[in-house]
Amino acid sequence: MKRIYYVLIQVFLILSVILLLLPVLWVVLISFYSRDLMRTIFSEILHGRLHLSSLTLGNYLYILTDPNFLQWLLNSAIVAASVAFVSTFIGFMAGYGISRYQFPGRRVFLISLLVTQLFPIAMMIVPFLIIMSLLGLIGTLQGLSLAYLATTLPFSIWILKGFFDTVPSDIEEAAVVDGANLLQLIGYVLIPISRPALATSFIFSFVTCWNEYAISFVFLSDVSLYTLPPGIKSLLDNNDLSGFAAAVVLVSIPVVFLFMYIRKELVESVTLGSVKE
Amino acid sequence: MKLFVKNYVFSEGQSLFWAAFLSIFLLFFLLFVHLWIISNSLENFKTEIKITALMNTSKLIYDKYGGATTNETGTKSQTKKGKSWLSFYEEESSGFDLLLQSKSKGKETAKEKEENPKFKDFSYILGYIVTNYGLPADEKELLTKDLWNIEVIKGEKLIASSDIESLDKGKISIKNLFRIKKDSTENNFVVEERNRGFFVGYDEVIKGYTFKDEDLTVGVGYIEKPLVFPYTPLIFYFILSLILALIFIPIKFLPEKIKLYVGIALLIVVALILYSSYSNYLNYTVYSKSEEVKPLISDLFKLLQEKGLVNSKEEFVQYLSKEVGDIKAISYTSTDGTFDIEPSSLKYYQNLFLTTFTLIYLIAFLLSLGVFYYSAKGGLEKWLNAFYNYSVVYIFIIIALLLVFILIGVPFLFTIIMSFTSLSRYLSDLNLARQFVGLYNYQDILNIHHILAMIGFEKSKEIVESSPFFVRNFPNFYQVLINTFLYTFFSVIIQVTLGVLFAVILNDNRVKIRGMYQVLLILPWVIPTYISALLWREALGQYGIFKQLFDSIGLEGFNIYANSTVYFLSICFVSAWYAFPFIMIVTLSGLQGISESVKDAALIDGAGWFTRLFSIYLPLIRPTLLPSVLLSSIWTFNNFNIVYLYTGGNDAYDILITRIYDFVSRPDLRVFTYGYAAAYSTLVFIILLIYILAFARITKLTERTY
Repeated sequence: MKRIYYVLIQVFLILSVILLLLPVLWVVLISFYSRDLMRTIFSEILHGRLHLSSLTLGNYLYILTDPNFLQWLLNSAIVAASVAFVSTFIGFMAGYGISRYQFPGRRVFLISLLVTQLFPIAMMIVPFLIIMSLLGLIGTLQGLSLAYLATTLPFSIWILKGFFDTVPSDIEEAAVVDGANLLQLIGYVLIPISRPALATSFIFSFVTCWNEYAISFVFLSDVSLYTLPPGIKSLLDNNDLSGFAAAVVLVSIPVVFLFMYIRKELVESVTLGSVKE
Repeated sequence: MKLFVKNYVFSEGQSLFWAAFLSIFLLFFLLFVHLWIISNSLENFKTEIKITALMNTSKLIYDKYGGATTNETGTKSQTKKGKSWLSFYEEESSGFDLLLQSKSKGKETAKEKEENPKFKDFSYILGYIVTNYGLPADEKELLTKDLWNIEVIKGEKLIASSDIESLDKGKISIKNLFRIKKDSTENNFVVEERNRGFFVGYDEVIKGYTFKDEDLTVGVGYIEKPLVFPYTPLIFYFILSLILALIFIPIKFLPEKIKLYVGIALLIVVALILYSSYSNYLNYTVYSKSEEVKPLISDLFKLLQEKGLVNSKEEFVQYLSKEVGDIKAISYTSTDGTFDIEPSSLKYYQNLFLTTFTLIYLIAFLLSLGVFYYSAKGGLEKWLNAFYNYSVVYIFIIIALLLVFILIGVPFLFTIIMSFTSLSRYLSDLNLARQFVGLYNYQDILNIHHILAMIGFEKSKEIVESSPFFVRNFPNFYQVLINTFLYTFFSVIIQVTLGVLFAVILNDNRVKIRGMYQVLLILPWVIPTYISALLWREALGQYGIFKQLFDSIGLEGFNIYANSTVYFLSICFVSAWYAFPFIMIVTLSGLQGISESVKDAALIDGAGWFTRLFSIYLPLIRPTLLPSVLLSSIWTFNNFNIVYLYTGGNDAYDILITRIYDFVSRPDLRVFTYGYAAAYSTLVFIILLIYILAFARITKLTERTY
């Protein structure tokens, strides 16, 4: 009885995983097969006509030699990396300050940070567009980065504040007693001990920018300035399904691994405000 | 031990004086804001008087020549009851129509038109006004003027605009506007002004303002908009405020007990002095602005008399006092030979400005009273101490503070302020004060008049009938709102069901390779949302894997788009597909936190599987699960990427967030101003806030936030 139950559970799990991940499996599969097989891939499998020998890396070669795609990749990488760096650095400073000192205005600041996390960025698009066009930054990657900073900064502060809350201040006090000044304290003590949280913040900010579609689509009108999301969407608009499949796999893999790496911290951080006592 | 924190206490010195100074400054500041708004509105006001005078004069000429040339096309003549003469004017036959006809008939009628005495008089009189009262007369001059936005709309589509920079391909800039005018006479479309002034809809003004001659026809409405900055009154009120603040110095010598009360009494006196002096100023400016139009009136009268179109001043005055569109006219009297403004008519405008001011001032006064009380009680010292002693901390967070303020605070406040204006999409005029429309956008979004008309308010019925803003063929706010809530509800149900189900299964130690399942099931959450949306769209689409799957099992006719309910549910499902792993992780960690003894006790008591789950485990993890469900529901509510990319921006399945995005990104929705989009955003913000507060109240989340 028990045994049958667990076999059934296994069957259920396997079926549901396959069904739920079918689009993912499909896209990975078609990214490795040639264009003509793409539309009928299911019946090919069903009739056993799909051979390993017809596996091809053509789609990947095609997309990786597409100058547009490489440009998007570069744009995305530059924007995401710079935003992640700035956001993490500022978040580190602020997170430390907020965590260690009960200064006036702290509570208001924290609550406002939390509140901003609950509201969609699409709401901010109108004022962003206006401000950026006033600054002459519309249609540029700099303007886009500034807009992204607004989305990632609160979360970075929140993560690092949460981290410093869990670390006792003994080490810092010892360092100050030993005569460290502020810069030394930051460079020799704070940054080394907060490395894991810095990594989480960096990865999260990076991935957020890497995945952002709405703002970049409105902000950037020049195809050569596109970041990956509008770029990949444009592949699909041009009916280039196999190119899309290869691009999706290439773009998702780093994200999936990075997110898997910080998944535990991430879940803790996002629920921190509401769950933690 | 607190590192780098100083311990210094500022002495309580001149607190009462500074309190007074601060609160008077606040009063002054809000007064200044009002001053700024009003000065620019007053410029509009002047233009409006000018235009009513012009419009009424043209109506006079129209009436004098009696009737009109018959409209041969017959397509446009749909007279409606209760419409202003202006719309009647357009529809029946007018200078506008005259031109259209003459154009379509060719050269002969053009000659005819020139001979038409009505047209000649129009041309003559308006030409006179244009040359003598600073309105641009030709293309060159028009280009140098700072103009209101002009947008050309054909049917529902925007096909031309006066703004050069922000135009897409196929749109026309103001440089070509004169060409558009000519085209429009041939193709018969209307140039509409979509901006709204302080209390006037300009679209009607502009349509009416089309009579000068061939070169200035077809709704090229231009209204000068000088940018006014009220230097003189500003300096005056600043000095007045400073002097009034000095009254507070003697309070220092009063006994401690009555100090505060005397201070508050003095503040009230000061506020009253400021109020009365400012309202006098306001009344005077309204008066002087309307006075400036006087020469125009007497000139018009002279012209009309020359042409023999008007016999007495009384008759002319009667015409002048008529309202145009929704502009209330200033009426004139001519008692002693010259034209004077009717006091009651002027009073109307003075009261209008004064009411808005009184409201703002009342709020300002209460605020400044609060500031006064707070700083008199030593609040100021508290802040000074904090800033000084915690200076190192503020160094740590100052960049973040500034950035958060600039990148989030400013846009947020800007959105709210913008929602009370009709800021045009083309940003050619960023003076928000001039585009202040009050609650107009909200009224428009919420269809207030529509609802009132349904209940039976006569006035609202009229407005609904005459306003083009209510004739929209895409989902209105309420439909989108209901859609959003249904979508969120179903999606959350699906994701919680899936998440809890998998968590419960994977919590069982005896399930093999559950670690792998866990990793696989987290995948939907970590794959970028835009990719998930596009992926599902393709997978369910024409060549997608699901289509192939259904084909192979015999469901050949399967089409996700065929049934709108099915399609709607598929959106909910895709959104839930993205979100369920989060619920799963949270539930799993919650379940793993339940101690073995509880599980054993439940087993010993003989509780069944379902009883254990629903009566013991789920209630135990409720404190973790409910906030996560709240978070997840907010994310679902806000899930722009999934809904927008999965549906391809389909209007019928819009949720609130994608609707806002449409206003920005879609060219065909450009008839909406940024002000409208901002008001929409603000409404969404309020809805979200209410939702969060309500949910938090229900789950008593607030107690646990810190």
